[in-house]
This record gives sequence, structure tokens and C-alpha cells, in this order.
Amino acid sequence: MPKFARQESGVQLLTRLRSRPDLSKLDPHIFGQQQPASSSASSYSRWIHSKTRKLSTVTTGHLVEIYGPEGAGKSELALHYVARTCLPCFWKDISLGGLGAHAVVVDTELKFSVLRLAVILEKEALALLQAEGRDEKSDLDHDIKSDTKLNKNEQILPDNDIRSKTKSLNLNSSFKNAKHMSDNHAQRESHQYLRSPLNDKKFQNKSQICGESYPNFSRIDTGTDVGIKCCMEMEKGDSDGREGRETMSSREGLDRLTPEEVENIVKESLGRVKVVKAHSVHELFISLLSLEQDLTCNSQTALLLLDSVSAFFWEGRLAESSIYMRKFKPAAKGGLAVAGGMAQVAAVVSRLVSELRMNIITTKSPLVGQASSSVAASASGRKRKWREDKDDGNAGRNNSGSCQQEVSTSFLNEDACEDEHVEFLGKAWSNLNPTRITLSLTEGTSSETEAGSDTRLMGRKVTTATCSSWPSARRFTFVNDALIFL
Amino acid sequence: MALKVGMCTAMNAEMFTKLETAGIASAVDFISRDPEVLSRELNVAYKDVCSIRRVLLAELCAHPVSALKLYEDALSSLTILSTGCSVLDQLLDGGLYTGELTELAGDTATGKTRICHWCAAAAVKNDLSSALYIDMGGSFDIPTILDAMAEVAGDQAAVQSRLRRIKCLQVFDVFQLFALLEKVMADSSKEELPSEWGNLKLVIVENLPLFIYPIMGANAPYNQGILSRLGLKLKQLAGSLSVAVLVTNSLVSMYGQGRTDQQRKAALGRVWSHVPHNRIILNRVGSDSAGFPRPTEVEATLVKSSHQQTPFTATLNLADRDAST
Repeated sequence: MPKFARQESGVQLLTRLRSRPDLSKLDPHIFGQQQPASSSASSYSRWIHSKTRKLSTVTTGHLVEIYGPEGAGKSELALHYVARTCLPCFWKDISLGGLGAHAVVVDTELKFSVLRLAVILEKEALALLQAEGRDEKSDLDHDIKSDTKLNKNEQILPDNDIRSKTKSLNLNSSFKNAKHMSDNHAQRESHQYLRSPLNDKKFQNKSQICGESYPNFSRIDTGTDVGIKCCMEMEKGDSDGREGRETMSSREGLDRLTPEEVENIVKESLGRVKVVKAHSVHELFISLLSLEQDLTCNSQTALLLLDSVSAFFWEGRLAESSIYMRKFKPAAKGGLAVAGGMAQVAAVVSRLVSELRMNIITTKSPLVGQASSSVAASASGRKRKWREDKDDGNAGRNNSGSCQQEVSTSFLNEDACEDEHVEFLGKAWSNLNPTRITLSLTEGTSSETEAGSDTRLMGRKVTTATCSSWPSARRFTFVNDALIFL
Repeated sequence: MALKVGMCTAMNAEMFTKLETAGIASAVDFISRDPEVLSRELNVAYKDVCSIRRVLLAELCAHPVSALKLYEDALSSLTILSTGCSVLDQLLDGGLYTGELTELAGDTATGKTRICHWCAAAAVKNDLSSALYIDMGGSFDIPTILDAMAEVAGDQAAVQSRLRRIKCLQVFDVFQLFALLEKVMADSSKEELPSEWGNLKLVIVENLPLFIYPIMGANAPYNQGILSRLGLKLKQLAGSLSVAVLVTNSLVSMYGQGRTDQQRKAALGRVWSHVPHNRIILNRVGSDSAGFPRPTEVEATLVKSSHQQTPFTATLNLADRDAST
């Protein structure tokens, strides 16, 4: 009989039975479907799941792993998911498409930049707000464009014309204003972005931004044909409703898009995110345990981002290989020495996913890759060839022919398996069976067919993402801090 | 963290000896055991075990901070340090950001040391800030610094005050480097006395591979572990003290995938490649019309950045840093 009788407080029971915010809008393929109970889930949840499968009232969370080489955009992709989660659903009757849920970011590599998250939030909010206002007639643009609004903004910050044309965003440019070493007006200028020409940029490039954001809005949302159709219908419905009062409400909508409003949206979204910085594998383990306790009582949190679960891999192995650990704490005792501490972390993660129904996204860097084994193979192939040539004639020549083949095929194979996933975190982690999104950087730039008429997409670094839950591979790139699926 | 008597009310001598006999000496051992099982095995009150566990969790965990508070703190403490060269500033989206680790990777004689000197000179322009230059190979060079401070060349007092605020320390292996970084962090967190480091804004670690190569043996966990620990320490320094950290690195060839030796990447392997926030690779530009390599022109490529789209290339002139090329 499974040992499932354990104590649970009333709050914990209620939290377990209540459901967390649904993340299927983020990515219906991954978050929409039921996750089968993994083999390492506790016997209690497995028993419950087996009994209630027919009733299907018990759901588990999802564990997603983003794996890819350095620079492919793992942390960026994960941050975009977090941004979509914590953006509010509605902002003064404008649908923002966010989920309005809380999120926790566990940062193990001290890589998380809250300013970067703020920039992404601002970009996403802007893109969605632009899509909302897309139905307006073009003469509206002309009216507002040529007007006092633009001039007013220009007067406030005369240099911003130049700055808004540079690559960096409003936020970045205002940082440069605020915090250059030679400038001492820190206090006043740190708020300069509040007066940044948000409207200026928007009106100047309105057609461009709209052109970019509309197709992307639908693609970021779902990425399937069904999704796009839904979005188009929604847009049509909105425009129908709005036609009557278009001039009035659209103008109002745009009027409401002051920098302060966007700032408030960003701040409200940031208020829903909590950040935990762990400096060692022990701290990570203990922080996850204490998060587990917090999350039992709090069902608002829908997403946990564990940026770089592989950060402590080598440190753990270093600790494990020390003489003290080998002598006094052999791995059999089940101490934290097992697989560099990852087993304990994997146990907490599996509890979070199965019992507390948290959705967890982790990023994993390829610290141990196929490349190392194939380099070794090709190197030994070369060595073998050299030895064969050196030794003797005919026999050597035949062998070197095959060795050459070996070398060339090993080089060919490297292409295929350079980016393939290699599990190095131990058996406990692989038993969790996460949904894996594998990213790979494609050589060269996006092709003309994909870029279409959008010339800004040419020449960008493109990442290809594959996932077992997706119907096909997706490609994305970043343009001006916005994630764009191709 | 080791368990001690008196840690909390429930942890008395009797409990401590019982835990010791059971082989539980550290906090992590205690926490990883199930409290019910533990109380049954050791024959102690369940609520005592729970209260000790609660205290340990509260003490040892990293507390979640609201992103909004982090954002407001970051806005007030972020400073962008100019590198002294306008081309590099443009490449780095303004300059060296405090709280971030920037890496300059290049072959020999591509200007890494010179750029570090420029950054140090630019960092002390402001009357209050200071810079720390950690040097292993004896590459710190006063004439280069004086050249970079050309605008106050005549004013002896100003030059002296600026030079006084650049601290140059020689360390000879990676363990001394760890000790120095710990010392800087500990000193700067003291509130009472003015710190000997002044208002530190920039830390430069020159020629990182020189620290790492001597300890690299056949034992992979050892050198990779040290390297990842070093990366974490440098980033902790950047984040907690709000300084910009600049390191220099060399280049190695990329193997496999049909790449030729012409393509180079930063040294120190996979573990290090994930560590810096920004990375610039310096390459010598081709030769001029006569076929001689141009010694003063260097091509800088931004290959990793937390602010800008990569790759982004620009050419800079080492002899005349203000020239726009």
C-alpha cells in the first residue's frame, strides 16, 4: 500500500485543490496539454492521479527545458514567457493579452537583469497596444503626426530625435542621459524616460510598427493557423464595434498612451515578479524548499523560471571529487554529493511540478557536448591515419583509406549532433522527463523569403527551435528587443 | 553551514549530540531529511524538529525580492562608464555598465591592454570614483595611462589625484585572485570606516587565461569548477558592489563543423563562454596596399551582449582613439 498518509494543513489542501492561472495562452502546445505523471513523482500523487484520471480533475504542472548553445537566446525566450505571464490582462479596457499572473525567477548565474525585463515588458505592451490601435484610418495618423504633440515632445528633449533613431530603446537612451559619469543631475534625469518620445516614435514610425506588430501579435500568441484566424476575427469584431465611435475612442486610446501609462503598466507587471538569486547549489536547494512552502499558500504564482539549472554542475562535481567528500560522504548515503547536488534539486522540482502544479521553465547550457566526443573521435582518426601511413605500405594504404572515410564521416556527424541534447545532470533530472525546446543557431542570416517585405529582418541572427510538442520547427529572431517568430 | 548549539531555542546540547550520533552535522543534511522520519529515529519532539527546520530554512535561503524594488534600485545605482573611445562606446551601447561583466578577447597585440588603460583613465575622470587594476603579467603601464589622460596633462595636481585613485595590484595565481576579490567585497560592505578602495567603479582583471592555465590538469571537475566559481565571484562582485568588471581573454580556434582555423572564439572553454554579459572580439584588420599589416587598426566585433543585437562590428584606431573610422 503506497505510503501516502501525510499531514497537510488546511491551507495546503485548499491550494492543492484550487487551480493556478492557466498558461495555455503562452504556448498551447506545451502548456495546454496534460502532463503525464513522471516516474519520479511521489507515490501519493501517482495514486491520486490513477484514481482520478477518469474524472480528470487533477492536473500537474509542466516542466519545460530550453536547451541550446551559448548566444542562441535561451534566457531571452524564457524572459519573454515571463513577460507575457505577468503583463496585465486588461489595461483600462484595452486588452493587453497578458495573463496577469505572478512569476518567480530563480537566477543561478547572476545573469538576470531587471532592466532587461523592463525593456521587454515595455516592448510587449507597446506592440500589443499598437495592434489594438491598428484599425484606425490613416488620416487619423496624419492629423496627429503633423501636430503639436510631436513638437511638444521634441521640445522637451531636443536630442531625442537622434537617440530614437539609434538601436537602443527609449529606456536605454534615457539611461545614457541619466547616468553618464560626467553628469551629476542624477535624480532629475533618471526619470527622463518618463518624458521620452514614446508618442514621437510611435507616430513617426506608426505604419512600420503596425506593419511589424500585427503579424507578430498573432504569431507570438499562438503560432498556429487557428490562432491567427482567431486573432483576425477578434480584430474584425473590435473594428466593427469601434467603427461608430472610431474618431472619439481611438483618439482617446492614443491619448491614454502616455509614457506614464506605459511606465505604470511596466511597474505593475514587475510587481508580480519575484527574483531569487542563488549563489551555490546548497542555496539553490534550500531556496527551492522555502519557495515550495511559500507556493503552497499562494496560488497566484503560475510560472517559475529557473535560469540555468546547469550553473552549478561543475562546482558540484568539484566538491564531490574532493578527498573529504569521497572519504566521509560517499554518494551511496544520499547526501548532497550525489551528481553534484542535482538529485536533491530534481526531487524538489518534481514535487513542485506534480504536487503544487507549478509550471517551471528552466534553461540548460550544453556544458558537456557531443562536440567533445566527436573531436576526440576525429583526432584519434587522424592519429590512426598517421600511424598507419608511417608503419607500412599497402596494408596501411587500405586502412588509411577507411580511416579517411572515418574522419570525414565523423566531421559530417558533428554537424548533426553538435546541438543535440546531452544529458549531463544525472539520472534524477532525466527522470523528470521535461518537455525540451532545443535551440540552435543557424549559420548565416534569415533568407529573403522569410523576411518578406520587412527589410529589418534581413541580416539578423536566426535561432531555430524544435520541440517535441510543436508540430514543426519554429524560427525566431530579435528585432529591437522584440521576439519575432518567422 | 554547520549546526551549532544555541542556534535556536530547540537546539540544545542534547539535541545536538543526538544529531551528531545520527551523522547529521550540517544544515543541509538536516533539511534534506524528512522531519517526521527524523523525529521518529532520534526520538525527539516533532515540533522541535520543525522549528529548527524553519529557522534553518529562513536563515539559509535566498529571500525573494520583488522585481519592482530591484528595478528601482537598479535605476538609481546604474552607471555607465565610458571606455574613453567613442567607437567602443557605441559598440557597448554607451560603455561599461555597472553590475555587468564585460570581456575583451583578442590575440596578442590587438590592443586589449591599451583599451583597459583607456577604461581605467576614463573611470577616474570623475573626482570621486576609483578603479582597481588586477595585473598578473606586469602589463600596467604608466605612460599609456598618462596618454589617456591627455586633457589634463598640464595640471599636475589633477593628474596626481587621478593616478592616486587607480589602484594596481599584482596577483600571481588564481587563489590570490579569489582572496583579493573576497577582501574587496568584505571591505566595501563595511559601513563604518571609509574603505581603502574609495568609491570603486571599475575592476579590471588583465589576462585571465594566465590565471587559469597553470592549474589546468587532467582533472576536469577541478579546473572547470574553479573556472565557474571564478565567474560567479566576478559577477557577484559586479552585482553587489555595483561596479563594472572588465576582463581580457585570448582566442582559440574553433574545431569541427567544417570551420577553418580562421574563425576564432574566446578561450577558456564552454564554461567560461556563458559567463560574461558582454563580449567583444578584437581582430587585426587586413593589410594595407603595400601588403604590410596595419598595426594600429583593429576590428572590434560584439559577439555577446545583454543590450544590443549581435553581431555588431566596428573598426577602431589604437593610436588615435578619438578618430572616427
